Amino acid sequence: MKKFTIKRKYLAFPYAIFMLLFVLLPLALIVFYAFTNADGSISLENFINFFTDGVTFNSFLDSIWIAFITTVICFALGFPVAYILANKKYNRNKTLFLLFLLPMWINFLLRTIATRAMFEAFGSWLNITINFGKGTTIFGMVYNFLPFMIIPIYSTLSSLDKSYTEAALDLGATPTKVITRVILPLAIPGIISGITMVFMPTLSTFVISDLLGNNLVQLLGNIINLEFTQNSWNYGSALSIILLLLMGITMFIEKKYNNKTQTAGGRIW
Amino acid sequence: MKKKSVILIMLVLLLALTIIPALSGCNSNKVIVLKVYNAQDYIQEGEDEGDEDVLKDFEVYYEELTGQKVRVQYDTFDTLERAYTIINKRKADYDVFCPSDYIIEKMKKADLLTPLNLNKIPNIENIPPYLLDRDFDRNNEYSVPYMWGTLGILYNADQISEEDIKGWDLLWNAKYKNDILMKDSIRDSVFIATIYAYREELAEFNKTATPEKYREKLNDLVNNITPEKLATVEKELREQYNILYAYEVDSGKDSMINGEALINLAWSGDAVWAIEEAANNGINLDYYIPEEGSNVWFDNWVIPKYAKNVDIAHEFINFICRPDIAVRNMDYIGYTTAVLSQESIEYMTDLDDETLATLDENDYTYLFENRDGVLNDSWLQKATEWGIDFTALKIPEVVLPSKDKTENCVEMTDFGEKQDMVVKMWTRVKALPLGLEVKIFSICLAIAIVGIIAYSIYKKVEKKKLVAGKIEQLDNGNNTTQNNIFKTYIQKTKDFAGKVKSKITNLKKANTKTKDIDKENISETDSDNTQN
Amino acid sequence: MVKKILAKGYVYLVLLFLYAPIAVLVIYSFTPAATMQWQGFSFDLYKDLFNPTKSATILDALKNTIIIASVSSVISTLIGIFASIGIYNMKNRSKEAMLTVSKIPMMNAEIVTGVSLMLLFLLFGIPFGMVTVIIAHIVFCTPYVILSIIPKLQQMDNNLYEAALDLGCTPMKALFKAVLPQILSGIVSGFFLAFTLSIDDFVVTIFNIQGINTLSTFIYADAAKNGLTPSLRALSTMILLSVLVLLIVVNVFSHREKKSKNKAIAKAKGVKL
Repeated sequence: MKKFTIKRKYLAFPYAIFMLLFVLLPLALIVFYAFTNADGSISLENFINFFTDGVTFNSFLDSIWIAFITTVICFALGFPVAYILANKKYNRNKTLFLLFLLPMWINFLLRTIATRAMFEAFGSWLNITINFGKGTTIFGMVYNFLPFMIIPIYSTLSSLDKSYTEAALDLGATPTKVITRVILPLAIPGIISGITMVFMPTLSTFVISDLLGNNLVQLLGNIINLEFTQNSWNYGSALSIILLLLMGITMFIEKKYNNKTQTAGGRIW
Repeated sequence: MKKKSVILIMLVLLLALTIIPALSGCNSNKVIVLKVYNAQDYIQEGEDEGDEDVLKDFEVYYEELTGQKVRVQYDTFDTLERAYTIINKRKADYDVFCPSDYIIEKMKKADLLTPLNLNKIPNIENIPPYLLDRDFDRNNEYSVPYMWGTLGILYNADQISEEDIKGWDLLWNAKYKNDILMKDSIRDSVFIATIYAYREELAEFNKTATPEKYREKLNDLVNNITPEKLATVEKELREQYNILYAYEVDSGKDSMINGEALINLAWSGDAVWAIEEAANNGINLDYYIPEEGSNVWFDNWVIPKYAKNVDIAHEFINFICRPDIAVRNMDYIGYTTAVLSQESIEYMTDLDDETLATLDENDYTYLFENRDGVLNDSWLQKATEWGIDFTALKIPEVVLPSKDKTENCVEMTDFGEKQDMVVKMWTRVKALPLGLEVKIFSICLAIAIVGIIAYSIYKKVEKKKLVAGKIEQLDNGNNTTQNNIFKTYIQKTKDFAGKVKSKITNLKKANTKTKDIDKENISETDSDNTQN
Repeated sequence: MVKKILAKGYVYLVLLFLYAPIAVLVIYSFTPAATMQWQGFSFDLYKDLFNPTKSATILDALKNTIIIASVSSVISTLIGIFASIGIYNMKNRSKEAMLTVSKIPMMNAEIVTGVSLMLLFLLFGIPFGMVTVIIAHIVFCTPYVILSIIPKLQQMDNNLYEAALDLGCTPMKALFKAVLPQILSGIVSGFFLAFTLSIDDFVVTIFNIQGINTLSTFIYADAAKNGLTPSLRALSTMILLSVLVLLIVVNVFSHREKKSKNKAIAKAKGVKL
């Protein structure tokens, strides 16, 4: 019997090698580039530049701020949607939830460009000029990532035991208290994974800020893209390391909250 | 049964998918693929069946010439910098590439070009001396001109008042806030901003200088970049940032045609196209080259070092230099071709009466001058053969700049190692000014992070202290009954653990001997456990 | 009741927000204008889309996108199946390590994944083209497949495999006959997830592509150039429509299946429905 379990374990070995080759080795390359300068000698100058050149760090803060705002708006818009959809009292129809997934099948660049077209259409219709910039960029991000907030929260809420809320109500809690004291804490794993799924992409995107910010908005992703197209790979790698660190932190937080619940992928779909 | 079939279908799908691409790859054995790398929409391409298509015509032409089947793989890039990175770092094996002057210089320095055999490109004789033997490629060792033009301002003639149209100031005119488009191409924008930043100095210098001296001065100004100069330029660009509608590379034309924006820094060829298209929309666009000077640029064909089909590449370049092909390309993309022929000059002068009335006659014989300013006799002869008087032609500035305009235009050169410095400056220009809300948010974030870390450390220390305290309490032996019970309990557990441990070691020893003893031992431990 | 209407109203409002830009695309797909201005109703864009010479580049990009998405999702599903069975049977610590590393491509910023793979391909001198894009897509798709299969493995009765072995199956046969059917729904959803992700990807693709276009890279270049090629509006309308039909069909089917299952159960229990 024991012999066979060992064999089954070995099934993952090709994947382990695959990951070593295509996940860890590339990251090692990034680390290598980040800690060398253009001449190929080891140095910390890229990281020193990050804090001292007076631009990148500011853009970094700005990116975090924009990502934060986007996440907050997504949560504020998305949580009630997920709550209503998951609550049998309001909705018994699963197709309504599927309608939230449908737009994701349209290419996201097309959707972003369509957002632009919509703004232009509204602009000419209401006879106002819309200046593309930070505001429109945030709008585009909320538009693009809202489903990623709704899906995990919906999945967590719909698998909640209904008796919790009933018990709370029986014990005399007001409906608002039920939401804040019972449902919200129970939905934390979904919320956390929703937040990470919105926060990280918004932090690193360069496409949305390009298309909806008229190239005037410069986020961390834009700088990395610029550095990699302008041949300065070392600095671009150093900035990637910053993003990697942030990823590490979010993974740590997610793990802390998600220890016993299902893994994120299972919850997305 | 059903599930089995699903698995089966998936497997078949997999097989089919891996085989199909492999099969389609097989057919191309006999056909040589010529890889051409060019800017988007920069050659005549047929959109519909039966449309003229330069690339397809070349395929036919080459097969007729040599009997060899060739397929042109036409790839496009958005910015030259990206294209350069792809050829330089990725070693992409393009056979023909069409970069601008300063990139050719850079590629030459980096040894990324194959020297041309001009004997294989006889059609180079269609290119006038002015466009040949330029500084970036003496004797055309590596490149053959394709298109050329100037950098200027495209503006909406209906909405921009006459008095504002002077110099590069228009791009910085706060009156047109949110109506101005600037190039998201570092090299071009920095070039223009430098001229603008030093406009007063240039004007002062121009009062006394000869055209040659002025050009020299301009060249030094825009191509010899220093940190001090960059700082001044950055200030101007930063100021401009606040009144811009957008940075763009290619989409500006569209914004101008739609009337979305009013002022655009534009390459002359784009301007030609936009003026024509806008007229259909009932919008009046115009173009001018500011008098303080601008950029004259050349897009030339080169054969990169990693090219695999050098011979066919030569033939391709020669084909593109044919007068009829040149006019077709010019007609399709709007840029001014480097090929000067009777056809192309007739195409350029073919204008309606209304436009002709607004134009002055200009002398274009400068095209026949070589780099030392000497007129080429054979070209003068050609002109007389064509029956065209090049000293008095009416051609819009946007198509062909007049001599006095070209006198104030210089080429770009490669920044070399200073490139990094310029890119840094560019990111500084585009950095959003840190708003108050961002500052407050960042401070809060920092405090929160420090707070969380401090709190978790504090908690850990407290926990340790608590445990240490409890142990100390136990060791001090507070003679409460509870503690006694606790103590004896711990002692008992420890004893039991010791027993188990010794049993296990015994077991291990026994195990090496025989199985019978093993069994006995187990029963012993069992009984021990129950006793405890 | 009022509350219910309000709640539903809110949901529809958010849906409106999500669909408004798409609606713009759909509406303007029925007018031939180059920019988004209404120039009368027509099917010209649809005709253009299926004209093989006129939309050669779009159709080529579409073909590439579909090839890349199918190959990478099939391969990542296969890798994912074996990997998740293997990981599931691992000891705690190595299991943890494997799961954490597989999460990296999921959680990582797309641009970092793309750039790091580009550096890798350069290091090995692999020429950029369809192969590099496919490998890159497998890298970020496989974790999603694994994470949709593993929950199914957890739900599965662990003794099934052992029972199959006891009944004389070879380990391979036991895997195919006993385990695979149990996790099939996870495999299918993982496959579709991978397919969707691959079709939609732009950032990872752009850093690893050369010489060919996918829909995403084509649209990006197009947007930077002349707005949007009009027939793309027709294409997106058609994609939307076909996905909608697919969703409805799947929904109806699963509904029916559930009903018939319930019936069967009821029959087995001897209860009349």
